[in-house]
Amino acid sequence: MSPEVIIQDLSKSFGSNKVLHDVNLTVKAGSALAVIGGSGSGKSVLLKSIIGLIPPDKGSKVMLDDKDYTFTPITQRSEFLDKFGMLFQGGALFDSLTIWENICFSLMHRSKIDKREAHAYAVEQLALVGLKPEVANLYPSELSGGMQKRAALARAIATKPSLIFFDEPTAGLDPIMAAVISTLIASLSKKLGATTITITHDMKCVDIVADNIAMIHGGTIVWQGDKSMLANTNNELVDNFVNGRIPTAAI
Amino acid sequence: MNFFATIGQITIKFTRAIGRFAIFLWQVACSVSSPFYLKSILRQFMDIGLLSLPVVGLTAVFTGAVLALQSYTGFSRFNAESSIASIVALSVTRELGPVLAGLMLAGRVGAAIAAEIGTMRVTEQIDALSTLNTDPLRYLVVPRIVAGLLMMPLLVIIADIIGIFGGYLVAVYKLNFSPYTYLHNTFDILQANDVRSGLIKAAAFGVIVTCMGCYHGYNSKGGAQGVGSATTNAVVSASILILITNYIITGLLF
Repeated sequence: MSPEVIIQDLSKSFGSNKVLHDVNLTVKAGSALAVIGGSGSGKSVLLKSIIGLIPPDKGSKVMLDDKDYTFTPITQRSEFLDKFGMLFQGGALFDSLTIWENICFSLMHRSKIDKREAHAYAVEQLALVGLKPEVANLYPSELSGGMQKRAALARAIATKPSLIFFDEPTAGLDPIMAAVISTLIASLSKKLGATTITITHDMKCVDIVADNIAMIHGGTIVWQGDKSMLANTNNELVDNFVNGRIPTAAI
Repeated sequence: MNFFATIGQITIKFTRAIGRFAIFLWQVACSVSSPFYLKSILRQFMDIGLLSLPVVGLTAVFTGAVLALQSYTGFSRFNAESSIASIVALSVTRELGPVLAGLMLAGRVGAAIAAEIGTMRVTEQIDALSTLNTDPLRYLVVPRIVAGLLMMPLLVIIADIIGIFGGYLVAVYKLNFSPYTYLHNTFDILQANDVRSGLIKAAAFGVIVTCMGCYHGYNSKGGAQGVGSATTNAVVSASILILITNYIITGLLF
């Protein structure tokens, strides 16, 4: 069963700089939420606060699968991490390991799976993301940006997680590769029946991967709703962002 | 007023840095538990130990050779040339072997560790380790410190032998000493305690170099510039700490 994610009054400040103000979000089990917003709006801080890489401020609440993880650092979330996968913006593949070692990293360290078995499993995962078996023995530096993203996606889904986070999955990719990655994310997430949160500012990606959308602006959620409601919203911030209009004040 | 404010700011900054480093060490100490990443530890043995051997060996042979030459210049003024072997043996094993090997390791290994871990930090590979249910300190830092602690004394034993050999080469082939007398004088003066004190220093320097590399790399920020600063800070802080620790250990073992 996929977990539900509930975030209540999540705030985060760095010194006097308040990056997140009372963010409230609910992601239902098995649904796909996309958090959109401009650069510096607090998207990445929100993601890192949810997964425990950054501790949120007092008064915040992060519930994952009915358990309060608000102030539990990521290194102490072993049980939660067993069913969690994440695709990082730059892929974050380990340079010193081959692609198959990257994909089976978690499996090899957690269970006593032997090398041959792990290699075969990695090749299966690579096939799911459209990469050939030969790629398994290469190092990340030998792959193109798009192939690295696919390999990172294969690593994110290798443990068959029920909760997956995608941080800017299409950043730095050409439009065709961006569409390929977005389609892969949507199909693989559906296949796993996972709850997903995607952080992005690419509206084409949002259209493919998300059921629900939340827009963050200045550290606050300014709009949240079903994807179909996006076209008819009266919210000026959302309208400007979705249609790429420059706000009057900025001119 | 500005002068006192500056002093205050520097003091606060310094105290904060010490506090941060102490917290880092405490977290590393808490990470020393199973699972132990044997493959990673062996790789570090190779990187820190075996691959440092040429640099440390070259430094040792020339240090021993120069030491023999310089002490000849001084001792010949009061007819004490026969003490050259003793001076080379004692200086290399007690002082120059561990200190110079430590400084060379700070440049080679400390910088490499800071650059590697720093790059992993800025490219989110350390965050990725955490999301893959792996403690980054246990996986990245502990193997390096263990390798520093165990490999550095081994390197220093080899450096001691090569350093004494460097002095022997100059004494025998350039200064026309008898090989037998030189070796006899060397082994006559050397005591187990001389080598032991050098090895204690070596273990301490190994920990200092790897800790500084890991600490600065792990806490690097920004992009390429952040990694560059982390590398510089790792080498500079390790070198300074080696010199200070050397004095403290020498004082304690004197």
